[in-house]
Amino acid sequence: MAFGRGDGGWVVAAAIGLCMSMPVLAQGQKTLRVLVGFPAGQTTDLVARLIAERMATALGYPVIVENRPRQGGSLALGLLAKSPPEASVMTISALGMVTRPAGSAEFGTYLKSEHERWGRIVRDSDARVE
Amino acid sequence: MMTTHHPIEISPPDLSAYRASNCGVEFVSVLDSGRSGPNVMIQALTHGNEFCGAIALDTLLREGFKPLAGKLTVAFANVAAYARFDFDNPDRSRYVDEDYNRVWADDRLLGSGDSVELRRARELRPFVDAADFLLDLHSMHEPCAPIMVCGTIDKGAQFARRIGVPECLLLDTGHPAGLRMIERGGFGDPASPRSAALIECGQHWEKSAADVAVDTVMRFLAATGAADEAYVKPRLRITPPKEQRVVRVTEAVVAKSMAFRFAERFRGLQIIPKAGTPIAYDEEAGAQKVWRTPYDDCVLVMPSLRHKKPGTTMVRLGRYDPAT
Repeated sequence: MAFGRGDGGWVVAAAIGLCMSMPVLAQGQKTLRVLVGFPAGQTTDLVARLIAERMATALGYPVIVENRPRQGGSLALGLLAKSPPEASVMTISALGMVTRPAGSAEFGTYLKSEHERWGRIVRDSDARVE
Repeated sequence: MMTTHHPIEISPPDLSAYRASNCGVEFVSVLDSGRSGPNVMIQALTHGNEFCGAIALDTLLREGFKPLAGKLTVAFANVAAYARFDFDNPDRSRYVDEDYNRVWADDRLLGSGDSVELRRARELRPFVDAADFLLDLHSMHEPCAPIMVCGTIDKGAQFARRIGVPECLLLDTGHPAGLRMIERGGFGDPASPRSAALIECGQHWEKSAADVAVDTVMRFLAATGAADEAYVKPRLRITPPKEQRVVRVTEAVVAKSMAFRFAERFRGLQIIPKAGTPIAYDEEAGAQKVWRTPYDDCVLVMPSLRHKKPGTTMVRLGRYDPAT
């Protein structure tokens, strides 16, 4: 699923428009890591925790929120990019962040990788710019 | 730098909401029933990397728990260390300057020394000294069945029996590096009715450690009269043991050098049947030193190489009380 593609055109919801990479689960692994590029208690983190709790219930194994603040969220995206293909890892981020030009080589590589899958989980129409 | 560590199966909880306190000390909440009753305290994050207890207390506070009688103090202790938690090196956030749980003797606490942990302990001291009952939530470096550390005197084990979990109750010899909170003041006085217990919930980050923490908090609240069965029962997560057994620690095995190694990969609470069995090798004054079990059915309490350095306790040795 393409991210940021709304019914009326491109949605660039900068404030709390959030999307997540779809988890790629490794066989035999029993934990899913959700990388959050911001500190605990921040909006993205709060949404990640809500999602993680429900996912853990649905999946039947631990889904842990892994705060990786610094560099405006790019650190988490870089970690995701560097995760081995078999890793059970996903990220959740503000949409503005994933529409950012690939300032880091790792993220650019990730965007082109075969594991790229995105889904939108929160849309705040107030923050929408079309 | 990435380090080898046990898997992290639980999320470090978001505690930002508890910075604003209702008692003047950040990350401490006092829940007052308005009725007479015991003054009860539960503490998590004594060590910054042991956050299963913080999950249990976060759950309790988010559910809006109110004590039936007396008051309950909920404290997140070493938040400065916890704030440094690093997924790549999770063992490093145990403390900032020194072990928060070794500063509870008056000569340290009321002395002129200064450290992040001393400052925090001085903030928490009025709550600790006012508590009739205290539960301190911890976890262990290595996978192991839960252990209730009952201090050095028998009344600690009696208190743990009132709580009802876990199976293993540990009576130890304290730590030479300093007094623990559960030994402070009346908690360490056989004549005092004040009682404290320290639960080691399992390996720091295994999912079951959080379940043990939640379960033990519930049973502690019931045992102290802060909560009733109607509240506690639906929240229990662990089947209680048929029998609680006391292990008495007799001695500590302290590393002499960085050459210290165990004879094999031991598990916590493993029993070594025969006296004289080599359990570890070390070097002292240029010669090899062999550590052997001093008696039959020796229990290895929390063996770990994780924080190895000369002078550090690598394992404690004990045995089950014959009466149990």
